[in-house]
Amino acid sequence: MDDLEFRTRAFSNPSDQQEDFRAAADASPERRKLMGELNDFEHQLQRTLGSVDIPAGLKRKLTQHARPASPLRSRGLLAMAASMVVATGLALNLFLQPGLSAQDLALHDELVEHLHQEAPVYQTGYDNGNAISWSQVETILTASGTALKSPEELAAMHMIFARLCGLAGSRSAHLVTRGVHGPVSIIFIRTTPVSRGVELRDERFHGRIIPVDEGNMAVIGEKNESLGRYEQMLRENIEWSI
Amino acid sequence: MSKSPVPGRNNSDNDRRRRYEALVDELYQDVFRYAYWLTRNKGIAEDLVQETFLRAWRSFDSLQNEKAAKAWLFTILRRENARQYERYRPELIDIDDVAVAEEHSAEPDHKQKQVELHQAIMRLDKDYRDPLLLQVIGGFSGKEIADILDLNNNTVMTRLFRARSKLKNILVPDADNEEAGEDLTDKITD
Repeated sequence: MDDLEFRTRAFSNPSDQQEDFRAAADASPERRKLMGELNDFEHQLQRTLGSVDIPAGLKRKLTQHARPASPLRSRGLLAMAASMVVATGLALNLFLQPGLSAQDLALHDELVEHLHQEAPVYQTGYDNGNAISWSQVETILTASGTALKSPEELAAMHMIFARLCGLAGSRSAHLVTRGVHGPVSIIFIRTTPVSRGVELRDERFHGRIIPVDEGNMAVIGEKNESLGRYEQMLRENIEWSI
Repeated sequence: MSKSPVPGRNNSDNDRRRRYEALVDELYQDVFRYAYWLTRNKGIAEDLVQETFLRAWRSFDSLQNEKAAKAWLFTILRRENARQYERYRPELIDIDDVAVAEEHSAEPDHKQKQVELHQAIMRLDKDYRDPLLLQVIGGFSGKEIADILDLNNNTVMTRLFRARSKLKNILVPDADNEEAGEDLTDKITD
């Protein structure tokens, strides 16, 4: 192995354990000196690249979504949910959905509460046959960091409500269209995706929170409303931006 | 007596969770270090690592060979970084933001050298920094780095050569550091 090749391989990978390289490294005092320098440098490099503070609690956060709610937490959530039933109509069987993380449950609860708060406003619009323009919808989508690749189908629907709402700490787009049995809410929430689809459990509404790429989409309607076509239409259609 | 399907399912879920937690335990620190050096921003790195492991958990069943887990995670992380952060962020290098963990035993000279090396790595061109991070933090071979970066092996080895030459030049100016490596890609083996 000539000096040029040796030097190139030494710089590319000073820890190279191949026999021909190790033999070449030992072939002259100059090469041994170079390897000594490179090994010292490699040690510094490893030390520097490894000297990064790991955020406290990171490991716990990374394993949290894989853990089922503990019995203690479930009992706590059940008690809390029971106290919310009167106000929100939240059904307790949400907790029968296994594998949901604490964040998933929190998002579910926040969403149900939000729907009950907003429902009187968009229900009036529904009852009065109100309509809003597509440009109003687009303004809300843009402000929430959401875009639709092919908005034509949604734009052709009878939209009655569009508002920017604070959900899960992010600016979320809450749209409402006219369904068969009542208003249908379509909500885009740019936050950590739920672990899997979360069925909404409520006395009035039904629907799901669905993880889509970097965020979540929720399609929610009155009982008996068929929501599959909305989910199908929107699921592959969302683009998130910051 | 009828058999309930539930115990089997629970065992399977528990096993999946246990394997995932073992994976987190073994690799999360290296994944975070890589994310930090890739993004050069601790906040973004933490978000990126959380997103990476969330995606890993959701498609954990697709991981057939757990020996390949590290390359799998690094690849997810790179893809997420490109998708979510890289295209929205200009290439900002804050060389004063030296987030080197405090080494209480370090002597002033050693600490100064570490800060200089940290800043030199920050200044290194992305083409050179990327394979170096994968080699030193990830412990990947040239072939594995080539697969992750979608480059050929000789290009990777040439970039590694130049990365170390440049860093060494910054720290110990020495004109002959970079004389090789220009046309030697055919001589480099993994």
